[in-house]
Amino acid sequence: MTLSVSVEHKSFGSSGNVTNVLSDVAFVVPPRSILGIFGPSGCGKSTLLRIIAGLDVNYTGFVELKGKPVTHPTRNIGLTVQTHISYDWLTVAGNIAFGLRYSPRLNGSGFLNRLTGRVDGKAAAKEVERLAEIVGLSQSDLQKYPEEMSGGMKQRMAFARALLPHPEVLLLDEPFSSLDFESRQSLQEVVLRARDELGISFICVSHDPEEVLYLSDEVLVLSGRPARIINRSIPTLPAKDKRYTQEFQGAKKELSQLLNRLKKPKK
Amino acid sequence: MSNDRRKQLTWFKFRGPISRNRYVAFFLASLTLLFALWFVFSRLGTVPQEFFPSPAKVISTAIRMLQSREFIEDILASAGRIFVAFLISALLAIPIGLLMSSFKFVEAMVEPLIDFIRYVPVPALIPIFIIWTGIGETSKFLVLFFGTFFQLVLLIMDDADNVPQLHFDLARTLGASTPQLIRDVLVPYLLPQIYDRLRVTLGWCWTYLIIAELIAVQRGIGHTIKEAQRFNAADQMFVCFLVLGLIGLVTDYAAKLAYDRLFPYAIKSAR
Repeated sequence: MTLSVSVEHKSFGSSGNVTNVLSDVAFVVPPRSILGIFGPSGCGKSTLLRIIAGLDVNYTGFVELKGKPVTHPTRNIGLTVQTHISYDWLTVAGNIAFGLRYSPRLNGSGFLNRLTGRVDGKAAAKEVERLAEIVGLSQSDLQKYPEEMSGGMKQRMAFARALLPHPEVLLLDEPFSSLDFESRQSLQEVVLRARDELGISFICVSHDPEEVLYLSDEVLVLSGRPARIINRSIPTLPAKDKRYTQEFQGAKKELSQLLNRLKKPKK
Repeated sequence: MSNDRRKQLTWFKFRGPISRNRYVAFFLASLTLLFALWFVFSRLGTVPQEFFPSPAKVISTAIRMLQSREFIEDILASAGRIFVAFLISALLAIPIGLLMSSFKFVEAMVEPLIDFIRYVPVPALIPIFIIWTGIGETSKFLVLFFGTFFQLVLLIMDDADNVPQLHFDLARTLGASTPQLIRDVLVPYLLPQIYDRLRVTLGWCWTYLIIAELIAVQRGIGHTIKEAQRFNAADQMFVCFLVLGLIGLVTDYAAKLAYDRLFPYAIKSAR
């Protein structure tokens, strides 16, 4: 098992005004697999991802990566967030290379380089170009500043930046929400390739049934307050062109209807 | 004609753009109007000529004063005081402000104290500065330092507090340690804002400088103004005002030009 997660209880607020967010959410993520987490917005999916990333440690339960507890953020667990964050003072290339300076492999040697965080320029450029190609950014895009890019391009940039440290697990929070249909499909292929070729496992949070069904080896449905796992399913569909099979469309419809039912009692 | 009218209407378009030429034209128009009013008012004689000099008189006095070594030395003395006090105050305020935002214990130790001192008007402190350090340069330095440091620290801390948490979270998942978060996210994120804060506080620095120089000093623009008062030389005062205003205008404009060079990404986002 690459990652095992067990959140027995997670709440926000202090005595008198407590919101219970998650309860008994437990699952494992095997190596080279994609786990989809599906549920109505505001159900605690993002909180769950923050816990797994080690950014939030105020909960009862545990997160273990290859048997070792995750108590703080690590390069082995990557994260992309819904509101794409860009480091605006860096070019797109600089943004993608951001994590390089913390890489033991590529970190510049010498006291001054370590003090300023300089990295070996050539090796960095090579790495950035490779990732840019994977996510579909051109050479000229790399020289731009994030502010000159569309939301979709920024998402590609954020995805490349998260891939760069070669994490064991990459957490995707609504990863491709602001992309048009075609770009979304092409990046979904990138995710599948990263799983197969780089051996990265993914947890993909989304409220898009098609995305979750298409990408995931297993789908969890979270709902309620506090949120629990109310449904687990393993899509047993052929990988190639599965998007266009009747089975896929049927499953997608089912999941959409489930989402609609989940939304109603909240109002 | 109708075309012209449409153009005029765009002036009042909320936050509408305006061409560079037009911008300059409007500036020159208001400047001309100001000089015309000045000229007319000085000619009316409601205030005697010696107290309200005409533009021509001020210009001739300015030419005379700027040729004298003394006045240039006065300007340099004032600028020198500003430079030293502002540099030290900024060099202390920036790291302290950043640390206050980064670590709550630093904030707890420093903020209440700063808030307290900040509300004591600096001119009220001048007598005690003079008792402590005499009327020399040190007391001037203290006035300038107290006038800028405490404001600047809080501004920097507030700016730092407003950096979105996700920027740091993301850097942590990429492997950044706490010092690296400060070096690689906090500081570069804030640089354009810090630069702007410095530009604005530099203006306040001049205010406190003149207050300091009016009290007791042998050299400086404030001193020149005070001397002019003794001789009822309003024209000399006007020259000082002009010099002060021009120094402010030029440094501010230069700082803005440099901003575009230093932070190309920041201009692009503003466009």
